[in-house]
Amino acid sequence: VSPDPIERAAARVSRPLGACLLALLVVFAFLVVQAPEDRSQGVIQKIFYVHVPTVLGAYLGFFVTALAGALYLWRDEERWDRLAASAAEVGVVFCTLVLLVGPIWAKGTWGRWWTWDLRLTLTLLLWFVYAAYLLLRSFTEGGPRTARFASVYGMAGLVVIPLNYFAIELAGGRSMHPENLEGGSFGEGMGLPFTVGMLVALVAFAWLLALRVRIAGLRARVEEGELLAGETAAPARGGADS
Amino acid sequence: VSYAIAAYVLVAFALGGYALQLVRELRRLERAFGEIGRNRG
Repeated sequence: VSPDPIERAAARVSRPLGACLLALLVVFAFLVVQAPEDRSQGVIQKIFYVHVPTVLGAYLGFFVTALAGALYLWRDEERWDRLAASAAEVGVVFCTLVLLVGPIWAKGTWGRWWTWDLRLTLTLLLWFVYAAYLLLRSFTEGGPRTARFASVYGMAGLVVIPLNYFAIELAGGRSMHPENLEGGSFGEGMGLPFTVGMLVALVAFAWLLALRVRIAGLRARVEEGELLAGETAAPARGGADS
Repeated sequence: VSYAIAAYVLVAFALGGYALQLVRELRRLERAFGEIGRNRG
């Protein structure tokens, strides 16, 4: 049994979350197929039901990274740093999907894969910020200095999220990207597949994070166990040499 | 239609592949941790 309460909680919830995700995916697939076609865009508009939920996964990942980073700086407990690194990885996976699915939709509606629109550019920047976070972590030895630096960096990177969210307003009518959703902006029959899509993203995020946190905890314990095994083996070797 | 299908297939493969990789890594580490425990015990 893990001594880490976060890892224990992750182990408890990962199986129910996986089962819940499977059930939700079946409902989601049915609802997307049944959803009415958009009058101006046609069937390609259905990309919306997967594009916006992947944004939720990315935002959640980076928000948890910043929050766990703050908790690490406050409590100085390694488990918060492991949670931050795990959430950043899951967030980058979702953000990568945002940057892949968005251009597919753009190609079908705007006629080109990419434009240097403020929303698109800031999403790319967000991806770079947290991909760099993961790279920096992987290039260093680890330890408290890396964890402290990563925590501050993870918190600072969060600044891009409100800029990204309000990019359409900031662009002042020059953005090609659709505006943020508001109450009543859905066509008839579009609200339910969108809501279930967001729920799928939320559960998928939680499940992947739970798996990733368990891996991070186990890696730490395996390394610790190998170090301890090495320490007990070292005097025996030293004794044989002398 | 093909753009919409491509988007859904991409997300399914990417998230499914990532999840599969995590599950495999978790199993491998659980085995490794179990072996360390047995060796120390």
